[in-house]
Amino acid sequence: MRTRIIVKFDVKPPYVVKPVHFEGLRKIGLPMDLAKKYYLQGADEVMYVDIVASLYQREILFDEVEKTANELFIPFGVGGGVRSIEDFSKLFHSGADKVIINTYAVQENPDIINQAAEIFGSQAIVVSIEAKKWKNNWECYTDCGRIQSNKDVIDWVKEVEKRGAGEILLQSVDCDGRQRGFDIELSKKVVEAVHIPVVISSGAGTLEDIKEVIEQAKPSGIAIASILHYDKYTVQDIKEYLRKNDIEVSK
Amino acid sequence: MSDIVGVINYGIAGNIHSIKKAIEKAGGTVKVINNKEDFKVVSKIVIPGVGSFKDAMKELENDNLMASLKEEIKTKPTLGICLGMQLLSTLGFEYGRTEGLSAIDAEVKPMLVDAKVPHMGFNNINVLNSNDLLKNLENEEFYFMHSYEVVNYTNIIALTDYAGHKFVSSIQKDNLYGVQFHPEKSREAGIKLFKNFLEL
Amino acid sequence: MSELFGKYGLPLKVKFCKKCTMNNQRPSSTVEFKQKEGEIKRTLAFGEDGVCDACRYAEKKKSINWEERHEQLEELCNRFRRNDGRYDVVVPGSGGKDSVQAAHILKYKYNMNPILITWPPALYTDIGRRNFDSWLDSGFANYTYNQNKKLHKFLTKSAFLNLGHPFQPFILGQKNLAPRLSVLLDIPLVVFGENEAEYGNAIEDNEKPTRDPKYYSAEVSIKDLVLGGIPAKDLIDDYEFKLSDLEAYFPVNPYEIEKTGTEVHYLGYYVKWHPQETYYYSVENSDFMPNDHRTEGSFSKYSSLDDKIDWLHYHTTTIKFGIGRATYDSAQEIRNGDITRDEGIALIKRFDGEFPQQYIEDCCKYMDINLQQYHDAIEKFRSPHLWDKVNGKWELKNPIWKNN
Repeated sequence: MRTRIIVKFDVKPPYVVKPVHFEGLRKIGLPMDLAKKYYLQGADEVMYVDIVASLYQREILFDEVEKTANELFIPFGVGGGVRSIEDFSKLFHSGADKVIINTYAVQENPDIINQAAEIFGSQAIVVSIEAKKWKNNWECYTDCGRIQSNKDVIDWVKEVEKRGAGEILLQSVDCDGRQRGFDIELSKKVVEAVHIPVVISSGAGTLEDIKEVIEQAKPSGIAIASILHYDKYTVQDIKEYLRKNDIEVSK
Repeated sequence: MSDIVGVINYGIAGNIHSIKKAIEKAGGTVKVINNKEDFKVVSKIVIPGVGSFKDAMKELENDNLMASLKEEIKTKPTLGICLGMQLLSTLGFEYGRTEGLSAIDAEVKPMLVDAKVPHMGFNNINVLNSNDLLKNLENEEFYFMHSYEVVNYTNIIALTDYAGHKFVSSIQKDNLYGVQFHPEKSREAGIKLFKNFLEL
Repeated sequence: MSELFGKYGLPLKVKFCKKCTMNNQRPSSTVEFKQKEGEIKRTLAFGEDGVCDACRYAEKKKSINWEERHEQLEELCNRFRRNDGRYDVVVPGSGGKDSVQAAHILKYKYNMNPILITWPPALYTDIGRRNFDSWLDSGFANYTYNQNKKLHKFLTKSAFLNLGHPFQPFILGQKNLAPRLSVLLDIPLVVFGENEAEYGNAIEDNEKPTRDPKYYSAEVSIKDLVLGGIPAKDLIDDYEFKLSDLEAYFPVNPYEIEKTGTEVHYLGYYVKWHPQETYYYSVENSDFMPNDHRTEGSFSKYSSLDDKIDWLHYHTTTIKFGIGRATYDSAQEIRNGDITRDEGIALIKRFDGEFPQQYIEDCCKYMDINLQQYHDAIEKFRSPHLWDKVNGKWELKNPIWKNN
């Protein structure tokens, strides 16, 4: 199965930004421009998360989502501040193909995962994880890598799978934006814990990093931000390198 | 009749936006089907994906679309996408046992494969018989996003291999077409598929 | 006290800046080593248009020619650079993002040879300790003056009980240590990060690159100095602390400053200071780490991380001025274009004034008081014109999210 090369958009509408350790709001560009850029580069998917909607406790900005969706003919996952079935529905109607959820499900109401899966189908429900490492385990964080939950990541991914989530977007608070490599141990544990696809994010700094996490953790996809947003590499650079190293990717 | 493509609106589910965009990129015009009157002006029909079997059928009934849809798809060129293709079957087993549109003699069952489910990502299609929908697309990759598959033995026009498991990725019965994958999410290859559909 | 003013001489009517989230209760610079109980504060100035001085300065910053300022910094460095291998600039700090950037820029961009100096926090947080080590890992040596702990504890406790200002002993030493070591080590150039005018102190203070000597040097005699609300003379005579230990908290003798040729400069004058960008600089050029989670009382993870007393400090500013860490942080981020005023208000509503649960026990233990004593002490400092008791709970009469 081809490993998907996905581009991650951390969005503080109207800009895509690039935090480090989920902190900082440095602007990268407009999501529609970047969507077009990466579509043309051959990205397999875009995952767009409004990183401040939960933190600021404000509603989702659907117009911004729609503008970005218009540039893409590849799957578009959207999240940030999702709190109700209506939010899910409105996002699908604004151009999302998958909806991503974290804070509300972790801190307030995990049942929403069950409800959403039943109405929209498991495959369209992505649970995003912001994992923070402590001594021997990882904790789920919310509100843009800021607020603790006392929930263990491995327990949580197993739980959401049972509730009907179709995909996991795994991010690491420790590695995010640092370009020093992925949390391989975490990645392996999560991929092995569930039968649903896992997309691993946070930490790509070199092509080697990406190859290593794929070889070691065998995820369904890798979500990349910094090295693409800062034009260190293009999507084709990544795909060519992986192909050369016998890792199957789409065209 | 003018060449307008009707896209079924399921209510709260369905990714109409993406499909509309893709059809328009392929050169078509879209009308969203909200009630049975809307069928009058369209010459082709698309049944979108994104949803669950049980809920989608419930929505169709609630919106009073079920009966008209069953009629319309007897004659008009129809493309069912992902869930839309699955709905054409007799029975679905997602969240309980539900009757489908019964346009093809098949059932929708969970995919049994020794790999991650849902099947999520780009994959190839193996076209079995030449047909107008998939012409010139034999070597393309398409995006799949599903946990269920159509179990059918007579109307297959393409198969796909996932981790050693072969399943139905496209069907045709006269004017009815179905694709398990999402052409609206499959880059230029998907747009070409819509172009083929528009030319039917 | 005049009827026009509340406690501390604060204006009775709370006014919010039209551009940021700061309000007119915010005190501007105090000459700490003279601070006595019941003192009247000078507060943040507002213009006729309802815009505060800090925002006014932020506006001015937009038309500064930073290329010119860079050249000025080059000239400054050229003047003090030593080519014989000796240190040529004192960079004070503790490993927070500002001192990390300052040290790195001076060494790698301006080719100087910094020596880092630290007036350490009373109680290092874990993240503070780690960041201090990372600071040195980048390739710097460091002099840390470890205060007489008995004295420092005593001053912290006194400052808290007498002034509601447990942070005072830290502030005193931090400002004075660098010029003091400049004299001791014979390194005239001292460069601090940022500039307090960024936060709304007297805007004239920002027109020049140097810190006004009145803040760190004074020809004062012992009888004029007050630490923790206690006259220095009493500290020596009644409490038996030694002058040698107390000196660390006193301003530096101006004659010594002149003899060495000490100049205290602000990097914030030469380099456009944008705290978030400073954070980025630090994580991109060193092993600096933000907080492990949201800092209590605010929404951010990258500021003021190293001293547990800091958490109490923001609690006292909330009690006294109705201004908590989220207000300070959001006001600064608004001025720098990171967030909007409405976003700042939402964050203040959610987090400002949060009780410092994480470190309250450690801090009380340090000050040798219990939690009840903490609460009793702090009530003395609550400004009645700002607070109302509603259903047994203290609430701000005019919070920003109700105002507007």
